[in-house]
Parts: sequence; C-alpha cells; structure tokens
Amino acid sequence: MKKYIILLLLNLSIISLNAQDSLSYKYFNSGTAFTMPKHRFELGLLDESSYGLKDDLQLSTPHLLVCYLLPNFQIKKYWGSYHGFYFASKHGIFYPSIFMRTVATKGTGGLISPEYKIPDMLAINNQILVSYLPFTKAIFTAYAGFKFAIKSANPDPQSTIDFPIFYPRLAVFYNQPELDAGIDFRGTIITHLGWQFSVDNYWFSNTKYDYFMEHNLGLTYTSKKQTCRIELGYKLCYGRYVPGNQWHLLPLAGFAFKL
Amino acid sequence: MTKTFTLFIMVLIGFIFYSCEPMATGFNDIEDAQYYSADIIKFVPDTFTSLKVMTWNIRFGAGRLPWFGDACGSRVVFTENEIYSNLTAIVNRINLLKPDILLLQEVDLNSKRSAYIDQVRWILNHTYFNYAVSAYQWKAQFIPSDGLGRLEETNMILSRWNLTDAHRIQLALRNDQDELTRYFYERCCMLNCKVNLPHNNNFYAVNIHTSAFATDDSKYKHIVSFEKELDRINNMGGIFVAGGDLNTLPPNTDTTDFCMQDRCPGESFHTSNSGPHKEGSNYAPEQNWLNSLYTKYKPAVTTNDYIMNQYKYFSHTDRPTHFWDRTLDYLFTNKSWISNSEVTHQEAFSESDHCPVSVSISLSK
Repeated sequence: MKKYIILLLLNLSIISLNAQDSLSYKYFNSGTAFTMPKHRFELGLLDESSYGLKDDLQLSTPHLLVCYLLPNFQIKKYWGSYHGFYFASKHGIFYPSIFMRTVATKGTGGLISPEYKIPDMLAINNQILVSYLPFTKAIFTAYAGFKFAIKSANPDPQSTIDFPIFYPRLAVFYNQPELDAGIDFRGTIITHLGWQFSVDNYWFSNTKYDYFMEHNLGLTYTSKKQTCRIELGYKLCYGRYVPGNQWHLLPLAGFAFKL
Repeated sequence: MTKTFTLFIMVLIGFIFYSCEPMATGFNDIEDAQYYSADIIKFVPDTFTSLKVMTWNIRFGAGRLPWFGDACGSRVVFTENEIYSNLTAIVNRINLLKPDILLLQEVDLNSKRSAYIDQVRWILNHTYFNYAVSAYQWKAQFIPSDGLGRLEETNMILSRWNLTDAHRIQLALRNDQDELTRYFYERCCMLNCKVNLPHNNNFYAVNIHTSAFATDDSKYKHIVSFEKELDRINNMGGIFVAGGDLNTLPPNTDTTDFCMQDRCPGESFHTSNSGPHKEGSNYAPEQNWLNSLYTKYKPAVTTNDYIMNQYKYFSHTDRPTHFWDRTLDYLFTNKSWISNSEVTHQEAFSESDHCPVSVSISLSK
C-alpha cells in the first residue's frame, strides 16, 4: 500500500513540474493521433505492439504475446492537422471467444463458470482522435468512439467476468452498443523521463450497470534512441457492477521496444 | 495554491485507501458483527414463557440444485429466478414454523453464485423478524477458480427482539490446503450476540458453521472454540441458545463413513483399508468430538432419543435426490429445553441440503 502512495505522490509532483525536454510524437504514441514512421515495429510486453504500415497508417494490437487468445487489431489512420489540431481515426476488431472459452474452466484459472457455452463474438470499434500540443513538451489527446458486437448467439448474462479490466472490455458483448471517450495527456520532465496521464470512459446501453472508468498515471522512461520505453504507475478503475459501484487500484507496468 | 494542492493530495490518498479492497478478506480474532433491522418493525408480545429456536443451513438459496462444490453438480452460478424461488420457499417455511430466534448458515450477500442477491436483507424483510446480525464466513472480491467470482457468505442470527453486543469470532483456518487455495477459501466463524428480551437481560445466542471439508484437526478446533464460548457465557451467568451446522455426527452414530454414498461419478474411495476417503464424508475419527458438549450442556436431541431413532433426526444429505442420511445440525442450551419440543423438519426437503431443526426453551423461573 505504501508503495502505491509514494508512487502516486511522486507522479503528482512530477506532473506539476514544467516539462524541460522535447517530446517525440513519432514513437510510442498509442493514445495520440500521431502515427509512427513506415516499417517501424514496436513490440510491447504488457503494452501495445505497433507496426507502421505507412507514415500515416499504423497497425497495432494491445497484447501481441497473447494475440492467439485475444485477437485484437487496430488500424490508426492519421488524417492531417488543422490550426494546430492533429486528427486521426482508429478502427479495430476484437474476438474474445477463444480467451473466454479458455478461462471458462474448472479449477484455478476459471474466471468463467464452465457451465456456459461461449458463442463466437466479434466487436468492431471506431474512434476519432484529436491531438493538440498545448506546449512544446506535452501532447494532449481527446478521443471518442463507439463499439458494437456481432455474435453467433447471445452469451449467458451471468458469464461475465466481474472484475476490472476484463468487464469493460467484454461488456459490449452483453450490452451494446458501447460509447467511449477519454483523454490522454503526456509530456516529458527531463531527458528520457516523461509522464503520462489518461482517463478512459465506457458507457453501455440497455443496462443499469452502464458506466466504467479507467484512469492511468505513470512515469515513462524512453531510451536515448527511442528504441525502448518503460512505464510504471497505477491504474485506478471505477465501475458500476451488479453488486455495486466499485473502485480498484492496480499497479501499471508497460515495456515496449523497437525491433 | 499550496493549501488546495495539499487538500487535493489528502482527498486522493483517502480515496485510494477507500478503494483498496483486498482480493480475499481476512478477519481479526474477534470483530464486531453487522447489524440489520427490518424496514418495518413488527409488533412483538411483551410477555411469553417460552421461545422457539431454530437452526438452518440454507445453502445460499440454491435449494437442491446441483452445485459443483457439494453435490457432484455441474452448476456454479445460479440464476436470479432460481435463487428467488428457493428463497421464497425458505421464508415460507420460516414463516410457517415461526421460530423466535433463528440461526442461519450459508446466507449469501453479494455472490456471483447466487445472482448477487442480498439474502440477509431479503430474508429479514420477508419474515416477521425485526432484527438480525451477521458475520462473514467467506468474503472474497474475486475467486479466480471455477468461475466463482465474487463470494460473500455469512452466518446470521435473526430475532424478533433487538440484538446487541454481536461479535464475529474467527475459527481456526484449515491447514490441509495450499497457500493460494487457503487465501481465497472460506474463513469459518462463530457469531454471538445478546438478545434483548423484555424481561431478561442476560440471554445470548451463538451461531456456528464449522468446516465441512477439513481433513486436519481444524474442525475439532472449531468445536473446542464453540464450547469455550458457551463456557464463557455460562460462567458469567448468561443463558444461551447455541447451535448451527457442526458438520460432525452425534455421539453413538451407527454409520460414520459416507464416502461411498457421497462419491461423484468417476471418484474412487476405500481402495485400501486406510482409504482414501472423500473430503468431508468420513466422520469416523470424530466420534467423540461432541462428547464434552453433550455432557456439559443440553442438546435439543438427547443421546438416548437419538440412539432410539437416528433416522428421525437426520438433517442433511449431499445427494440432491436422496432423503436425509446424517445429522449435522445442533442446538444446545445451558437452561432447559421443553420436553419433546425438538423437531427435525425433514419435510423441508427441497429448500436446502440441510433441513431446519427447532426446539423450544422454557423461560419460566
């Protein structure tokens, strides 16, 4: 517990400092409207993996190493700038059925009761992202989007994983459509050392348990040649679950490097 | 500016402390219990000469449905309709039998397996009871096994009269499990409270649910703790009604090994003289565990009565379609039960895998 508090205080004090170094928006830019250079490949461990298909087109997946369990691909298209605002759109597909069937098991690791049959389900999401550089060392991004699901059958309403991270990402298969919106604010403090703050909101239709929020705050280290990035911080989650509104504080760690 | 920033930090820290619910909750040796009162307080007679006490393990409102944990079942999570239907049958039975003090075990609060229904409040508001206290037997935010998810199970005492001085007493944890399982597993407890009867300021109720599946000595420790608690009340001059699901057989029981009866398809037991035995089905080593309790205090069913007709007092079976085959539920007092008032309500077959046991205590001097 103490370490979380120390980390939080550290992060907050850091965020209040003025940035002192230039910020690269070409690399490790998930969450912004920018895309990476053509053919650059960033492999993420506990982080997003991305590949630059073109200078203005980027393919990414949240967790490449478990992609066979959780196929989730996103295309980000950079559309250009207007009066200092940078525009992009994101389009993705997400197929969770393999993962859900894997964890619908007896014994340890059973996140879903094995009594449920998990149908084939595919979610399609679309987002618009707008980035703005309020000062030279920071990028502010706002986004909004919607998600809907295509299913071979409706999953049993009690086959949900009622735990943060999982629930909001799978809720669209139970109550759709989903609307989401949020912000990402990032900058540098000193050379190689930066901060990142984000808030993601999820709204779901046709249910009382319709709102979830995730807030991340982290310190980032990016290597001199922009080949590697480490993030450490916390994730604060809020959700309207069936047994009541719940808050969760979780550690946040990310590691990505250029291949 | 500095003040505002400090305030912001303090609020944020407070907020984070507030948010930090452990994955599975541990408990102190003794803690205050949770208190409840009915939405509408009903009239209670001021004068009476006896009280009817009942104990019932209600199996979290699952009735006789085939749960994976105790009935060779394949189900883990039950629907809202299933749970409400069983709860309705349970409160109908309670309202019919009309105990004045009710000891319930396995009452769920916010559990995925029972459709997140707050059974504590639901039972209180659908019976004639005015007050209740409860203590967690199991509290885990998320159990990553078998799809159990969130699990909050309590033991509960309900009464027409106000309940005070209620405490949750932690019982010994099982030592026959690995660390991970034990972290997420139930933490058996005892619940005691004072029942504020109109003309008796020294009346106590104690509810216990001992371990059902322990293969070490933890269940024995639970029974010893129970006896110590009754001794404590007795020594300070209090009158108690105490009981619950002791998960062991009465002294002098004929059949003490139910491994073969309880085995699920594919399971194999008694392949040699020494076993193996099914967890929670072999009571042979426990034959003397209740002797001291029976000697010191008055059981609702005396040993003589039990020996004469054991079948009449069977209160449990693991098999969903089978009739009661063993006695696990008890009531004790240090005063006097009214003769022949004890009833093992075997007709309540569909509401749970235990049937209610009731008896009346005389309050005349």
